[in-house]
Amino acid sequence: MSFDARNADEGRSAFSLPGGATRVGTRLFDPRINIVSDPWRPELSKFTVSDEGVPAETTYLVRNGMVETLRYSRYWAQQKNKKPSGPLAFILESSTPGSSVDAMIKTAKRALLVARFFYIRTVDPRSASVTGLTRDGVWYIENGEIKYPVRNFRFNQSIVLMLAPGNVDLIGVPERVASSEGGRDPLFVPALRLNAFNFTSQSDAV
Amino acid sequence: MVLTETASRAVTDRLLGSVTADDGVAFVESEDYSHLRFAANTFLTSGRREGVNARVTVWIGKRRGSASTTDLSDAALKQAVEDAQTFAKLAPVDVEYLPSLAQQTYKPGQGWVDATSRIDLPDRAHQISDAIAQSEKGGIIGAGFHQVGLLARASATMHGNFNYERGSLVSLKMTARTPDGSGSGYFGRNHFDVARLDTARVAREAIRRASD
Repeated sequence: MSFDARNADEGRSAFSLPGGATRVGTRLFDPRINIVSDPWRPELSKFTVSDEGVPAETTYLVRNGMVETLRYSRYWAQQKNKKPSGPLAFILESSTPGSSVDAMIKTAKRALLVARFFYIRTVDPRSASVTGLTRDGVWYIENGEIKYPVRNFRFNQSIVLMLAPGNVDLIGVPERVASSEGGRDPLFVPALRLNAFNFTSQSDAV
Repeated sequence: MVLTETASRAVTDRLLGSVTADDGVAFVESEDYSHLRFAANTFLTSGRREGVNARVTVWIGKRRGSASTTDLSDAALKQAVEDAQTFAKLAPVDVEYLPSLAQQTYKPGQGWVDATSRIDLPDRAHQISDAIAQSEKGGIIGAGFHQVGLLARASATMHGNFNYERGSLVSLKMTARTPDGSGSGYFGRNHFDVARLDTARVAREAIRRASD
């Protein structure tokens, strides 16, 4: 999900509206969700200088589910009379206390527990749709208990719809996680219990 | 080991010192990766890779050219600047050109921990021995990768900006398999501070997921 202002202004992102307008100021996400860029968060501690040399600032991209600001390159900031953005340090957290994964399982009637997603690729930036596979275990949960493992799946899912009001059931405690496809870029994100998620086919992956 | 701030500044100074273009930005990045791999509950490989990259971007009448080199000798840096200036003259006008930054104020990050940068082979062998011991105890076949990555980067502009940052990162990723091949579990975590990377938890989670 790109928070790039130019992509939004030029109609290429999930935050675009017709006629060059954007969804800044719109409550696109569950009202508990905050998305913050903060490279000084103690568990994250990322680089504080962007590739363009712009110093980092702690910035709310989404506050209480509302898109608050987008990210500007130096050039686009100058064009739009905004401040250029420093590097992104991605934090997704809830404004309410987080649930543990165990509690999410114990209170679930019918659910799937996904250990990990990988091989994630963008399908459509305008709906923030991605595809990918589950990996290293999917389990079927019934009446609060893990019953048995099931096959891996491919998914096709809009991240905006995934985090939309009404779809997010429980939000976990954020923790530092590493990308499963290399890179140095840790995120600070929670487990989620969602009402709907589009698994589209089975996969033979382990 | 990665370049210090002083050593990085010496590189960006030498690059910008030979620029005759209207504007320019110099970068230098250095990295140091070392690892210990294990599989079938035994140590496999240990290795190290170090690298450095110096890069310069210049503008001549808003036409932009870039060149980079992994050789930090005076001759190589000078050649990189000459190449960048040659390319700039051949390039179309960069309509999005903005003058390079004047001195900025940076609030330093905390992503570098000396202890992480000093991890040596006995340290990581010790941590992986614990993961292997947990695997053997649980009747599990364990495999994984323990890595330390150090990165330092600096940039300087013709308008007087300079910044330097470095980061340390240690990670353990582990796959656990049951001997009959019916169960597999994976878990991985990383941290800039080796004291806060819970390697025992990584092994425990991978083994639990394989066994459940």
